[in-house]
Amino acid sequence: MRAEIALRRRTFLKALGIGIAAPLAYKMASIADAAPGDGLTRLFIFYIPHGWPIEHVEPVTNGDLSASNVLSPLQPFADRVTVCRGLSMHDGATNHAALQAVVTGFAGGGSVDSIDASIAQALGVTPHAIGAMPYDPIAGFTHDAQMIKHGTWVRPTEDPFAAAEDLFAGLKDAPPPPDAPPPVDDATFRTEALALTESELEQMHAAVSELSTEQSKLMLHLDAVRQLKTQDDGEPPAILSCEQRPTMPALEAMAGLSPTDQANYARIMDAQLQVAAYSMVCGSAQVITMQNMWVNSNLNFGFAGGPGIAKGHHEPISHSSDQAGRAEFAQCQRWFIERLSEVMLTVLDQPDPADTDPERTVLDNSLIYVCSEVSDGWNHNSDASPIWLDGMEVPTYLPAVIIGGGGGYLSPGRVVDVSRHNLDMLATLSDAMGVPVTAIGGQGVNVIEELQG
Amino acid sequence: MKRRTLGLYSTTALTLALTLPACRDDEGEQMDDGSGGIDTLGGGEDGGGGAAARCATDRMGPPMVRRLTRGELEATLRDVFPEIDGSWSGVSLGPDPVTHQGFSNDAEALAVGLQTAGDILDTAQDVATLVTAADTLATVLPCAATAPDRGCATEFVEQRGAALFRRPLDEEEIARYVEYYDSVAERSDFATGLRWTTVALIQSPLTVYRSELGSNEGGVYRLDPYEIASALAYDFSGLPPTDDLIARAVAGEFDDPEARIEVARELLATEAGHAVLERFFREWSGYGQVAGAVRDDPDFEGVRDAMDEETRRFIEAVVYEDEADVYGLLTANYSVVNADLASYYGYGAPGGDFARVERPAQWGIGLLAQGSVLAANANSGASSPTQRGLLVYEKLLCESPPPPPADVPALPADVDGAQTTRQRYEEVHMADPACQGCHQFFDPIGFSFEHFDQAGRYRTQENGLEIDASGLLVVDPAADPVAFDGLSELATLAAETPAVTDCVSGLMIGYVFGGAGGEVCVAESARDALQAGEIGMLEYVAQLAGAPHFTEREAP
Repeated sequence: MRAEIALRRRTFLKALGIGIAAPLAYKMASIADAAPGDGLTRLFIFYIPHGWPIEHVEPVTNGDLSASNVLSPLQPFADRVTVCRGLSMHDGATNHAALQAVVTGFAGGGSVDSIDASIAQALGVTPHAIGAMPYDPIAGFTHDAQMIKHGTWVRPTEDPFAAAEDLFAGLKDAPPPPDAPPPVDDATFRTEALALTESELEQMHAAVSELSTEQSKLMLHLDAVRQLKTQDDGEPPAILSCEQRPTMPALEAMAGLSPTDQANYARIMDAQLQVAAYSMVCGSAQVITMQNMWVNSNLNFGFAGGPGIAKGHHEPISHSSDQAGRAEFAQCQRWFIERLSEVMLTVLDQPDPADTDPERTVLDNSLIYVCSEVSDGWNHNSDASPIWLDGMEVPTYLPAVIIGGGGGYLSPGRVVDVSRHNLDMLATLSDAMGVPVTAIGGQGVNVIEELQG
Repeated sequence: MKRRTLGLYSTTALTLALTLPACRDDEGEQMDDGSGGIDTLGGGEDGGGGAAARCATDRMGPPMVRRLTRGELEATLRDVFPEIDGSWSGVSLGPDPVTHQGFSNDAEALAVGLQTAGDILDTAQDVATLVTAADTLATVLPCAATAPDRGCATEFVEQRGAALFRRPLDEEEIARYVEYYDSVAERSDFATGLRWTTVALIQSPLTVYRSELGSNEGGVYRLDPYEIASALAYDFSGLPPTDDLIARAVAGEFDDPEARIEVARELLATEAGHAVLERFFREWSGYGQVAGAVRDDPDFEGVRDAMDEETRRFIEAVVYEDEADVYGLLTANYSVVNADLASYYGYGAPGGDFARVERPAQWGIGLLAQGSVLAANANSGASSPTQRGLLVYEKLLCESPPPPPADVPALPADVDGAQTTRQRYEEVHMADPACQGCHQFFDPIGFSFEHFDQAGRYRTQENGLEIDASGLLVVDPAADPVAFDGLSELATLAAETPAVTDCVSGLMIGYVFGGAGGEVCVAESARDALQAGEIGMLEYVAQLAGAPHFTEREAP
């Protein structure tokens, strides 16, 4: 993490308390007192691949998304939706490298971690990475299929049941029955096992002192084991409000199904969204990134429960330049938004159990950031530049939709026109999460003030 | 097996391409950005970099540790704990990261970050829980039923620890694990103590990594017998070493290169050995991507899995039955099809199951004419000369195009059917200097595939227009490109180009040795023999076991 971040005092002290080397990682710009309600905000980054067909996104106006083919599923929540137009990602370079710039801000990821990791580290919580991404287990992943970077590139957890284990890990264990034997302290034993492994890695690391490549390799492993130890010692999130997992029918519907089988895509999507939504309500997860497919993913969108377009999503669907093809592309991108709305937003639209104000919902205290790596799937541009459609010049911009109030940080229900770099959006998300940022990767950044309330 | 070859040519001299501006990527197709993979990790001093580099003498790569691949770790745990084979669902690790050349066993790429460390811990806990379950533990460790004590735990650590580490534990290591067992058992019980000891053993770096570090003897790192036994076993079978193999290594038998080669031959002949080579060809050529391909041909989805199997069997036949070299791989005039494929392609009429059939003359030859290769390197509604050209450019010539620039739109679709795919590509790529600068090196190769559509079927016309499958291949950067016509001529031309065998043999070295730290000149005499047609690819891989690199390493 090389972002230079100014921490609020409470966050900073918490970071120190769990052993984060905050002074090394962050440049202190200012220390502000925490505001009431501060620290409740949840961040959910929702990546959709291959941009969107802008003529099917527009028109959008303040508080009214009903005329937008792609975004109209958000209409029930329109008063909490912010459409940010005019975002560019010049460092995205090609559409391939752009994926890794979506949440890092730099082509190929640069030397920084993704913003979710930076925020989570500052908050002292786990940055969760989940995915609806049925891939070929044999082909594996090339690095340009991954967008989330937590020290190293992260493969999102593709199995919703495994995701649930992670996202609800902060819940307290149910009390044992009175006649049960005393519980085995597995957490302590696990930490001790990790300590043993840590000592072996230290030995091995020292033994390869003449071999810099091997030293680097083993140091990465050593750091990972040390982080696992820290996680075991970590406190539950401050906003935790549940004692047990809620019932999640979409998750249960995945029982016995493969999360890498393309035919299950709709169920995978719903299960992941539901797990994420309820973990946000419970407060057991505060920072989550969900990667849907990846650049060039050619998932056949004829799967059950999908938009019924039995063609590859990357090509020909996203590559369409004709009206009929772009209408199909719109249907596919709309489907992502529909699932988000129906499965997640409806769950989040309930009073926040962690907030003392009974009127405020989890959605009010959330930031759901919908993003992509390119502006237009056919044109492959990652900036706010015009394209020609049917002889007309049409402006495009990077998809950037924020749903939720960000704990009062945002003034939603608006369409906001800006001319800003993606890095500024990342800085804004970080700021809204209570982690002010002055620079990312050595590049100065500024909050997009037009988005604020 | 000797045959005519084209004049001496080194792909490394094709660095001309690397000086070009960034290439446009109109297709949105994956293009190698040259930032990773073994083709960028050093190379010969006398010939430049790249997997095709050749040297006057054999060299040795650096000492290294190699994280077990997902498959190797699973095979190891199943071998060490056969008692849980039926009840364990497998490792929790995701797919291994692949290099730009497509290989999933590169030692540099196989790093252990937080996610992988967590996956390994999860795996260790799953296995340990099953191993120490009440109904299994007595089988795993008979003394657990009669004397569940420190001595029994020590026996477990010595026996299963040695199997996991692929070498005996020293006294200090045994004491470390038994002490940990004691510590946990004192606060719980025998089974819990053993469970967490098992977790620690499995996630130990001594289990997770294959050591190829050796000991420094005057600047040369000499691998010990256990390291050599592990290398033989994993490299040529993907499995941990047997007790017999370790014993032979400890006896010094494998100081003799011929003895190592003989073991490699034996291992490659096993089912597991076949799987090792099968994975090379699958990852190298990418033919398996056909299984997930979507093509707008109503019959395609019904045969795409069969196409995958066709190529697997074709390679098996070429490599194992024919014992062919690279020339044979590229020019074999048969395929292995079943009834469904015979009906789909329109040639061959086997009874039902897969069988060798001779290809009609127009259907091309060799690996490049496989339906899986053709369909995997295409777009859904049209062929892709760019993808197919890049396949040859990157995988047969070991060249890396520069990264494409930003903001390049996809090629316009053929709306009115008035053009062939070739004409569309020529119009956009070759007529625009900004595109042509890079695409000239691979699109003209890809044009020669044009008799095959996006679903891997032969065609004489496209949109009612005659197919032009003439192509150009740069075989000597100092001379004009060589002109040819059609896929069969391309395959023959490539097969006769020494640089292609140099490339493939270099990639095989990288695959067998986990990248070898970027050194490809580890077995030059074997590469010579393969180049001369004296040995086939199977024997070539076996002979890599005789390389000095197998037992010694040089300081980087």
